[in-house]
Parts: sequence; structure tokens; C-alpha cells
Amino acid sequence: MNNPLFIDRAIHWLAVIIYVAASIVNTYGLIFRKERSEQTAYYIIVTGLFVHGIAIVYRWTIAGHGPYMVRYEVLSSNAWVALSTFLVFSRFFPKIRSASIFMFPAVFLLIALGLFFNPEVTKLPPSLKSIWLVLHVVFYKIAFGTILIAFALSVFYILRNRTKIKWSERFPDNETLDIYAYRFAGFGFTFWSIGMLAGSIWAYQSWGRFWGWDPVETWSLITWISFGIYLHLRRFFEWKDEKAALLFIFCFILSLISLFFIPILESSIHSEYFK
Amino acid sequence: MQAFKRLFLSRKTILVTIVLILLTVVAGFIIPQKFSTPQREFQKWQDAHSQWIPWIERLGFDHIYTTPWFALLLSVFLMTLSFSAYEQIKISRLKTYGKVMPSGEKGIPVSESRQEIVKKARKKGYIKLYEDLDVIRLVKYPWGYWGNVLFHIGMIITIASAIIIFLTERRGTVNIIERRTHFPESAWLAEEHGLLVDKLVLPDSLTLETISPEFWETDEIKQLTTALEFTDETGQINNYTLHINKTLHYKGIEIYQGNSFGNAFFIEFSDSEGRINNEILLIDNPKKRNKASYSNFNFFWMPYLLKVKYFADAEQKMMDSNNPLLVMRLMQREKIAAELQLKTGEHGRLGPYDVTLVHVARWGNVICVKNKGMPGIFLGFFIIISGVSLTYFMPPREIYIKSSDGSLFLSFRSGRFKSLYREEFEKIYKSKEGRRSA
Repeated sequence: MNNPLFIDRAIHWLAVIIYVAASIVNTYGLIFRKERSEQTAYYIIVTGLFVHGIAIVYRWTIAGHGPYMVRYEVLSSNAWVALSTFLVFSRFFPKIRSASIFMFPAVFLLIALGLFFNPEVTKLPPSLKSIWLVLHVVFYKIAFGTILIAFALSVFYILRNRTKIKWSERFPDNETLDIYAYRFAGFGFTFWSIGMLAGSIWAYQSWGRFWGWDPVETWSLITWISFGIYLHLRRFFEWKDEKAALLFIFCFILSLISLFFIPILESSIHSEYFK
Repeated sequence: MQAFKRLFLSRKTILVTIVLILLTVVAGFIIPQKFSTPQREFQKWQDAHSQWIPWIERLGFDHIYTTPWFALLLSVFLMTLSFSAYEQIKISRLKTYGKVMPSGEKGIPVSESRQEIVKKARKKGYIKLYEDLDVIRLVKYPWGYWGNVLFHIGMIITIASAIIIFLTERRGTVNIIERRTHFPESAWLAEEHGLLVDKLVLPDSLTLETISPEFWETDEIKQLTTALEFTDETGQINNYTLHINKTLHYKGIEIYQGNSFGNAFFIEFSDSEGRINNEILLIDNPKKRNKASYSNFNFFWMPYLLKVKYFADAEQKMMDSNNPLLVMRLMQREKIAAELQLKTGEHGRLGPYDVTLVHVARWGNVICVKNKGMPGIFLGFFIIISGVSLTYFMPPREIYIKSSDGSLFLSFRSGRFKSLYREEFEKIYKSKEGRRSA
């Protein structure tokens, strides 16, 4: 019981259970139009976020560094930042709240996935001791959160367009879904840019090279350019509706490859400590 | 000239250029690049794809980012961005200061005076940008008009700075053994220089006095600190300390602590005819106290492959020991011909050689860089971010108060995400107790 890793995992599992409960109540509320259940789900999810936050802070304390070294902590913190991003944005843009039907389960699945990886604490190498690294990581996590929201909205658009699922009527109208997906893609592009800038400053500070064509850097650039093409097509070629949604889903897949698969598959300064 | 301008301003040209850049970066990922792939890995890939090699070499696909066609592609992109930025400055100026009318829409009739409407809109954050007898234009976040301009200018500055760096950067890395000197004329371990400059030459001699690694209890590296000494031509000595993430600026050159370090083994080989060969084996530090670090060596005088491994501590109890254990194997056609383990000062027989491990010292990697244009990269990136932030976080919303036939009409426009702000406009309108007509 006194094993810090056991305590860390136990708090994480508690957060997962709370998130699962929130997802069930929220889905029930959305599908059966029970506003009270929807509201209750938000109280539960905020409680889960708090417990999850404690787990991350506890882990931070025992590891002596932020959650950016091993996949277990990376996935957990990605989930926390994505949910926080969603909750903050949903206060300013209440119409995206229906995306919670996707976001809440996505969050607990991310943590649950992380829990299957080795939770061993890895020490921080000297090259990662930089405020620019912290900014680099934080902004990529926020970018991931906004991209996840845009992805949910794009999927909803296609779902409603192609199927006759009754509960999809609970989503905002198609025009709103489309325009919010566009806007959140723009937010994602902005945060991704900030993450790249912070990363290049960190790289220059550490090795005197702002860009090294490392596989992770290259894929990050590929994703950034792809989002740029999506935004360009929407702005100047008036792409919208389903073809824009499909293109965004493609860009989202690229972002998943950049953030999660390339660091595992390729040898890179980014993957050196993730493996 | 007009046709030229039209070509570069065409949205299709811009899109095609971006797609080509994207495809180039993808190709650069798929095809190993000479500058970033270890020689052995590069050769292996070439052997496995020999049918493509003539094309890859002819088109420079193995060094994409230094090919003339990539420079041309970037130049075209730079031209489209420059033309586009110029046009957008004109459009943004017009939108900010000019009389821009919403097309066609007459608007909703309102009964309040112009001053009352302006006052209420101002409370919602709208700023009056234009007024004449016919129309008043109020805008929320007018600086959002400049988002695209900033984005384009930022891209221009970033790409131009990257080109300057590409043409003028000089870079050299060297592994230096403790108490040894890298002289200005000494060769670099790896060297790169731009098309417009010669290779990097240090202004003074650089001596690595000591290299001190610190380790976590898990054996991972905690910090790497190097004591350096520069000796100028008058004999004046300047001492500096370098560690990872702490850069040294010396006479216009930036000096960085590299990540690599390890032990240098000074070995004396003596054959049966009394010929002596002294070699220094530089090997990376092991990752763990109970794990060895490996390296292979080929010497012109030795008809074997020498495979070497070493443990940081002969007793495998610590990482920063002064008592490493060296294990050498002579390989002949994949078979072990001889093996020998040595600690400092020991000697033994390795196949046909008497071998002595004379001395062990640490070595470290030092990176020296001289470049111009780096502030441009960061400034450009910062401007890009400012631009996209304005574009997506602060899209301008416009309210028009029009006078027509003695009545006032209110209309709303937004360059982007109009439907998101319709409710905001309706709130302003409802607060006037009006009624939507169109």
C-alpha cells in the first residue's frame, strides 16, 4: 500500500471510474433529452477532473518532473488537458457541449490505455530541463484537445448526414457543426504553431539547431501544413460540409500519427525517452 | 507583369505550392537523407532500393532540403506570400479605415437614433471605424483584419531567415578527450557549412579540461558539465564552464554541450615482431551500470575486426567510476579469434598481440555554431502565431447603421464564422426592442 506507483495507479483508476460514470449519465441525458442528467454528468466529470488532477500532481511529485516522459503519464496528461480544454471552451461556446458524448469516453479511454503501459518513473535528462520544453509540451496537448473537439464535430456532421440515428438530432444544426469544426481546427492550428515555436527555441537552446528534420519534427510539420491546407481550402475555396469534414478527419489521423505513433516507431530525440 | 502577378496571386498557385512542399517533406521522410542518416543505414537502404538510386541521386532526393529545385520551390512560395501579403495589406487597410458596405442586404429597420445604437454597440465592445451621412460602421476586434497579413509576413520572415541560415551557417562538432586540444586548423568530426561561407574555423585553441557527468540513482544522466579553456594567439587563457542547455558565446561562436560522452581507452598493441601500435578507442558511456556499451573498430594494420565493449565500473556498482572494464574481441569472418578483459594499467594477450590498457580518460562532444538569421526565425514564428491567433480568436464582427428614405437600418457581417455571432447581433438588436425583417 505504501508503494507510490500503486497509489498513483489507484488514483488514476478512481478517476477512470468517475469518468465512466459521467459518460454513462451524459450519454443517457443526451440521447433521452434529460437535461438534468446532462447537468449531473458535468458535476461528475468535474469531480473526475479534480481526482485526475490529483493523480497527475502526485505523479509529478514522485517523478520530480512533469508528465512528459513515459507513455503512461503522457496519455494521462493529454486526457486531462483535452478535457480541461473542452470544459473551458464549452463555457464560451455552449453549442459544442453535445461533443461531450465523444469527449468524455475519449478521455477515460486515453487514461485506461495509458494504464496498460509501464508506469515506471523515468528521470529527467538534462536536455529536457527547460521552460521551453514545458511550453512545447503544454501547447501540443492543448492543440490535441482542440483538434479532438473539431474531430468530434466533423464526425457528428457525417453521422447525421449519412444516418438517421434519432439522437443525432441533439447535435446543433449542420451549419453550426460545420462552422465550429472549422473554428476549432483554427484553434488547433494556432496552438500547434505555438508548440512548434517553443520546440524550436528549446532545440536551439540545447543543440544550436532550431530544426533538425528529426522524424517527429518532420511529421509535426506535415500535420501543420495539412491543417494549413484544410484552412486554406475552407477560407479561399469555400470548402464546407461533408468534404471538409472528411478532410479534417484525415488531418486528425495525421496528428495522431505525429503525436503517438512516430515517437514509438522512429528513432528520434523525442522518442529516446518514450520507449 | 500583370499576368505574372496574377499567377502568383492565384489561390490555385498558392495551394499547389503548399501541396508540393508537403509532398517534398513526406518524400524527405520516406527517403533517408544523407545528412541525418548514419552511413551504414544509408548504404543498406540504397542496396535495398538499387533500382531507384539513379533517379534519387539525379533529382537529389537523398538531400532534398539542399537541392536547387527545393530552393526554387521555396522561392516561388516566398513570391506568392509576398504578393499575397501586399494585397492583404491593401484589403486590411481598406477594411480598417475605408467605407466598406455590406453587399445587397438592406438590414433590419430600427426606431432608435444613431447615437443610441452606437452607444449600445460600444457597450458590447464595438468600435466606430467609419461614419458619414449614410452609414456608420462599428467593428468588434478590428485588429482581426490584420491576422492574415501578420500570418503572411511571419511566414516571409521565417522562410527568408531559414534561407539566410541555410546559406551562411557554419557548424562543427568534435569529440574531445580530457586535457586534449582542438586547434583552429584541426579537422571536425562532422562539419556543415552554407553555400556562401567556408567551413567553421575556431578563433582560438580549445582545450577540454574535464568532463563531469552526474547520474540519477536510476543510472540515467542528470547533468553533463565540461570545463573548457580557450587559448588565444598571445597565450592568454580563458576558462569557461559548459553544460547541457547552458550555451557559451565566444568571439561570435555559440558553443553547446553535446549529449554524447564516454571513455577513451588508450591501448598499446604489440605484435610478435615487436611493432607497436597505439590506439585510442572512444566509446559511448553505457546506459546502465550493469549494461555494456559497444563499438567496432577497423585498423589498417590489423587483419581483424576489433569488437569492443565496456562497463562503466568493473564491479558494476556505479556509473561514475574511475575503474571501467574493457572487453576486446578479435573477429575473423564472424568467428571469435581471441578475447581479452582489461582494467586500467593491466595487460594481456589478444590473439597475436600483447595488449596494454595504458590509460583511461573521459571524452565529451562539443558543438560549435556560427550563424545569422536565428532571431528572424523566432520573430517570424512569433508573428505567425500572432496572425493566426487574431484570425481564429478575434474574427472581426461588423455592424452597419444605414440611413435610407428617412429610416435607419441595422445589419451585421462577419468575415468568418458568421453564424456563430448571429446570436450576439440578435441580442444587440433585441435590446433595441426591434423586430427582425430579413
